[in-house]
Amino acid sequence: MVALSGLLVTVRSAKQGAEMMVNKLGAEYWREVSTLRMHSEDMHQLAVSTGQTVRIASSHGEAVVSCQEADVPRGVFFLPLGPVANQLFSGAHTDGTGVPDWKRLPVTIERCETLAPALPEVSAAVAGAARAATGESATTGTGETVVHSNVVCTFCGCLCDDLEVEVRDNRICKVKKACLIGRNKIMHAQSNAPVPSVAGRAVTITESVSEAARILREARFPLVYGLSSATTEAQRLLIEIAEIVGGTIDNPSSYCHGPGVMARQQVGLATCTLGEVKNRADLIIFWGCNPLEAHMRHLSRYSSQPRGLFTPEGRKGRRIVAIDIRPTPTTKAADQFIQVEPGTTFETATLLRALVRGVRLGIGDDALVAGVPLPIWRELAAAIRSCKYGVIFFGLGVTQCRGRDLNPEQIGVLVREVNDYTRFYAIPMRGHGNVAGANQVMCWQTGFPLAVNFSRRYPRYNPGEFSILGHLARREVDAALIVATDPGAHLPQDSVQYLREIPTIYLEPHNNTTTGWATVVIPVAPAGIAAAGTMYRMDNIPLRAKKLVHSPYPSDEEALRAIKERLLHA
Amino acid sequence: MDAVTTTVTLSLKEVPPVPVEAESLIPEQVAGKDEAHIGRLPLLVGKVPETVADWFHVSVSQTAGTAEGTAEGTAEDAGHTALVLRGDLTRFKRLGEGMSCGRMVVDGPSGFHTGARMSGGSLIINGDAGDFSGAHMRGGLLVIRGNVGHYAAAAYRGETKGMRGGTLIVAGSAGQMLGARMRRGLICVLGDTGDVTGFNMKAGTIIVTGTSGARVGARMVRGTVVLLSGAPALLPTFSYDCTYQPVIWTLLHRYLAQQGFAPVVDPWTRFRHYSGDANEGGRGEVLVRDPS
Amino acid sequence: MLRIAHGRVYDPQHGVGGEIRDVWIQEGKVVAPPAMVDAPTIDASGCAVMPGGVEIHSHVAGAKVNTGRSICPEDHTDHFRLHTDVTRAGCGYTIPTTFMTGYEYVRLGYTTLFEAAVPPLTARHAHEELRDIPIVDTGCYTVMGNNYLVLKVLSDPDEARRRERMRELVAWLLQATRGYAVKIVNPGGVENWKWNQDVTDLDTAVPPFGVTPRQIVSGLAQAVEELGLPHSIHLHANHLGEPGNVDTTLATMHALAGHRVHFTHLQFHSYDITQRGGYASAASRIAECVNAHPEFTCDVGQLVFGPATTMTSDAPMEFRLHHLQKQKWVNVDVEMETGSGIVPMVYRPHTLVNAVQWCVGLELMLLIRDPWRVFLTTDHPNAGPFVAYPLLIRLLMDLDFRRSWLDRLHPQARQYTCLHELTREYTLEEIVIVTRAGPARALGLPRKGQLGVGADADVAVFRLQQDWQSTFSNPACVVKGGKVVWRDGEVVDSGAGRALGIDLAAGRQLAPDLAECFERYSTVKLENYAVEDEYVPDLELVACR
Repeated sequence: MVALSGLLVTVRSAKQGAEMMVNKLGAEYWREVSTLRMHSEDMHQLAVSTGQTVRIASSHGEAVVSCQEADVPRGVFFLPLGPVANQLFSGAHTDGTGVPDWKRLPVTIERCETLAPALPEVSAAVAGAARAATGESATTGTGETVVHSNVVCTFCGCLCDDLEVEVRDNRICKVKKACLIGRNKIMHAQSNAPVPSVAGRAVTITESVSEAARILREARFPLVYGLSSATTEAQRLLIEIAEIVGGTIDNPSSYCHGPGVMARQQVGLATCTLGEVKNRADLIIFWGCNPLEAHMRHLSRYSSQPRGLFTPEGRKGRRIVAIDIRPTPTTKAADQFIQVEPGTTFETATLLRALVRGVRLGIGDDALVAGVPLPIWRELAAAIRSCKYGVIFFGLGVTQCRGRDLNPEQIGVLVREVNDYTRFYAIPMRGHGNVAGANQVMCWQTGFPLAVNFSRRYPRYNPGEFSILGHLARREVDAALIVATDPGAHLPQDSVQYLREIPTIYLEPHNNTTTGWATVVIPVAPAGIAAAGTMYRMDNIPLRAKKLVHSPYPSDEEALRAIKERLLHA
Repeated sequence: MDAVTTTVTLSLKEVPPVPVEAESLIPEQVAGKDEAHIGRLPLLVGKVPETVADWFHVSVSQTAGTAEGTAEGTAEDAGHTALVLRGDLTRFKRLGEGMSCGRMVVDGPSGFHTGARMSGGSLIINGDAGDFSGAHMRGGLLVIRGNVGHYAAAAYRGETKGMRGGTLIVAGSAGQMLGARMRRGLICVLGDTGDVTGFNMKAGTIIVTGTSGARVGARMVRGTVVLLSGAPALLPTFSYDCTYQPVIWTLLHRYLAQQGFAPVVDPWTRFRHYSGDANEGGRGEVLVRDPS
Repeated sequence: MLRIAHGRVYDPQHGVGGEIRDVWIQEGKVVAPPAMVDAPTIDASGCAVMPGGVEIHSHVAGAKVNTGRSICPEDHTDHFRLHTDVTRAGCGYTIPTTFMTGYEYVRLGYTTLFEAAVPPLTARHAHEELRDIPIVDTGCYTVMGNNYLVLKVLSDPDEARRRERMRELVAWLLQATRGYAVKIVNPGGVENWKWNQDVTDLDTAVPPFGVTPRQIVSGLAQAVEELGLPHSIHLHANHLGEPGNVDTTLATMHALAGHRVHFTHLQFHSYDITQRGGYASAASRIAECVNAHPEFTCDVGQLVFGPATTMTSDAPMEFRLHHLQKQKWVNVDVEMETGSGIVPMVYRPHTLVNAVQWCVGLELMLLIRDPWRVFLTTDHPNAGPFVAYPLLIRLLMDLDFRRSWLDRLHPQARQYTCLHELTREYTLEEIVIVTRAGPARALGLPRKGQLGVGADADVAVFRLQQDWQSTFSNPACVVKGGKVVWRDGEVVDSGAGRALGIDLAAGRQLAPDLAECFERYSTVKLENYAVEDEYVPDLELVACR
């Protein structure tokens, strides 16, 4: 049997995002996150064609996926992030940072005799038994249609605030102006709510709150985790609870954009708000990100199309460069696509610093850096120096690339140094709707943006040591309160396995890969749909998300307040 | 090194299920105290304050002819005290943190922050040690006979300068970010190292006998990294200067031999000299053993 | 009812300067002494009793403060507070977390606190943080000096129309942001920075409209006066921190003569330039001008040796500072409005520049004669942390102590300063004015900073100790809104303070052409811009004049 070795890279795709919002336990979602993109020659070597299955294995686990031919480099394979990819990762391998090798996992691939990826079995194995979908919201029965305008979409860090949502009889029936993912999120926000339960047994909300408080009270080293899709009002309560129980509090930026946050602690960051990009930027560099699939209105609202105050020509007045390891819709929309080898972000940033300042190089003019000839980098460095207002947008291709926080650190120094010549900034492409808010609230209340521990009754910080993946890998925590995230799908399989061994309390509006096994499940009203509250955009602008419909369930804030009261006064 | 007159031995009763913060376990804290008193030293087990006696068997033995300690604890010179810990101490953090004198030995693996901020004395780990071991060391000798984790002898988050003095010797391998942001001191690893060895060094010396990962000396300002097993590709901001026999190597070899860790490489070896990181001024050096 | 008995009461507003008398409190207000009532009593014998402190300028809440916290974890590690039954945990020395900020201010006897600079686009964030600062009443100032719509309106050649539109725009911006006052930071200079232009003087034409800083400060000062706002414009002038900036500061003062203006952190704006381009004190020239203009108030921004974190909307200034420091630097350009920058610093007495700066601040405090017009601040955390106030009070009151500090300075500092010649010592009454009564009056807060009948029951009681620093470091008791919040060295009650805003006529609208401009060029919808009621629960509105 031919076995092919190479690197696995996890990515977002538009379909993965869109289906995630419809049903995390549905076939469409699982099909998309089980689809491995490969170069046609690699597939030929394995004697497989599009749609056929292969077994992919790393040193931590294996999965069966179906392959799809794609325009990607040889020896590099792409799988959407999610529960299938997570079978291959380990939360113990983070080089002490709390961030796994999401963008460069060594794997081997073999043809597999299974006809199709075992979707139902895989989903059952990971998600546990699915709960019956109930929780349809009561209708008001008056027949009136309310149109909410200037609605804030809470899916991604764009936080588009111009949506129109039609509600009839307390049901959302139409969404306008949103991207596909945002529309799916809002249209499906009211369906598929979990049943409040303890150990699989249906209970009342009050009983679930009681049990949650009991679990937290008895723990010796509890974990509070999540936050990134909750309002800041709910996030504040989560921090308070972590403080009361003397545990660790962490959020998903810990393994996503946390490296960017850590880099800021070393070098700072020169940045601007999105409106400055719209109004002034004449050079945009998308580095390790693919907004056309993950932040779908970013280019039209902020970074590419808009005619701004001082950019009346719109798209034509901007030069757009995309740096990535494979072609994507974003690279195709750019004026220039620089295709780099995987794992070379740090080398690229190092070289650009040197070229911008004319510093001595130890390589010849015929050398390649990141697999790209020097003249291309020289030209980019010259364009950076001579632009009027340049902005780098960086994504997980930078923060999760080999070197992790050192990549945005080196980019941060580059950006700082270019400011000797012109205005030049960087903005992180924050993924979730309020992960920027999670970092903000944690900072103003605890002093630190992630990985904070309260065992000594005051906040202490250390990524790796107090990151969720570090705690889980070392099997240190003995209870977990999880809100506004889906660890069953997004954490490595061994981290999820450990979470399943300890008591967990889970607040969540929809059935997903975690509701099937969490010890206590509390359904909550989805933020920005049935609960108002504050969210922070990727550039840290705060907006108020509205309440559009009523939910029979408490908001995160209300549920957490109830848990806190039980903790303090039981 | 002061003559040891008192040996305090703590034997772990059982491995705790949660992390333990054990910064009270340094020679200064046990010097001149009797077993009961030592047993009352604090440990933070998860979030619960407990004591040494809850987790360790404590025994104090005197070298013949010396005075015994008292219940109160006299102001005896901690420099004459040896503190020995036995057991699987992987979950124990901050062992030896901030110690300034005396001798401490861990017979077994130790956890995060082993010997962090130590300023004197010697700390020997007869096993693996966790991440951030030796972080911000200021003096003394830290020897890890097994492997050490990531960020060994590195700076904590937000700090621009790390290790300021002392010697770290790792008989096994080290992870990434070894000696990151150090400004003085000596680090020697007999095994391999991970990526970015010597990241953003301000000064100091790092010797790697085995293979080193990618991006050695990235962002280094000054300082010396000596690679004895050939060259990984250096960053584009490192330039080759010459091949020569550096005196510093002869001196380092002699020093390490005195400590009992002589690298199996000729003291008069020739090295290829690279200057870098040019982005930070280019006054650092990476010496790569010349294969010829 | 609550009685604070037998203390030496200092209430400069009412001419009370240390007489032994009781202060009676009921339902959160100071009341006249009742005929015969048995009430819980705090024995203030041997203590000074004064109104709670009023912090007129501090950076404690909002986007740039929080970015400062996030980039400086090392600021937090050694300074922290434990979680207790009454108080939340916290940490930070120069940039304390929100809970810690409230407790530390209360520990100094302060009960009212204003965040000095809030960009409208991030006002929601500032208010979220202010809600998490416990106990003290809070408010914030809205930055307008580089606002695109302000510049647009100022470019209107028709004077009458311009003034009317400025009034409407300023009122709308304040209402939308729930701001208490108009803040101006490096007028025109931050906008210039975005165009990669270096120098902004009072008469520099700033793109895109060619409006000058002179026009900006005059236009905003007029609008504030015409609206009758309780506080004047709060001005951080051009060329902060640069040697020789005294000329710009004096020119700005002359441009605004006759208008109420509050010049903030004046120490940073009071430098002469030496022959070699170094720093010398121009405090006497500045003090002379302030003394001659009773319509001006100022706060000093006194340097404190040790760590500090500079953070300001003055982005170009921070960029320059970064080049001197070569460490971390943050810059955030905020669309259509302003910018910000952060650079951590350490001030040292043997660094000549810092020694001169330290002298400048104290010279200003000693040479400006009217304590009702010069207030004690450190522009926290720019010149130093507010926790240093007791030290600064002792430096002002105790000449011998001040002289001992002069000996620690770089020996050449004497050549460029005159502090060593000044012998004035502040009286306790004057300290009460520069930390409470004066700021309250300048802010137009009638019920703060004084202990007459009807005043808010915010009272600080200090046991007199061997030196003034010790006295002011640990109040015997602090009362906020009639409740004892600090006693015996700790916080005993940690409720929420109130939000302080201005009572402008409701329903202020943005002019249609400006609204259209906003909708087209901002990236948030106008409907989502203004801060909603939920962010300012317990709002108290102060009337305009």
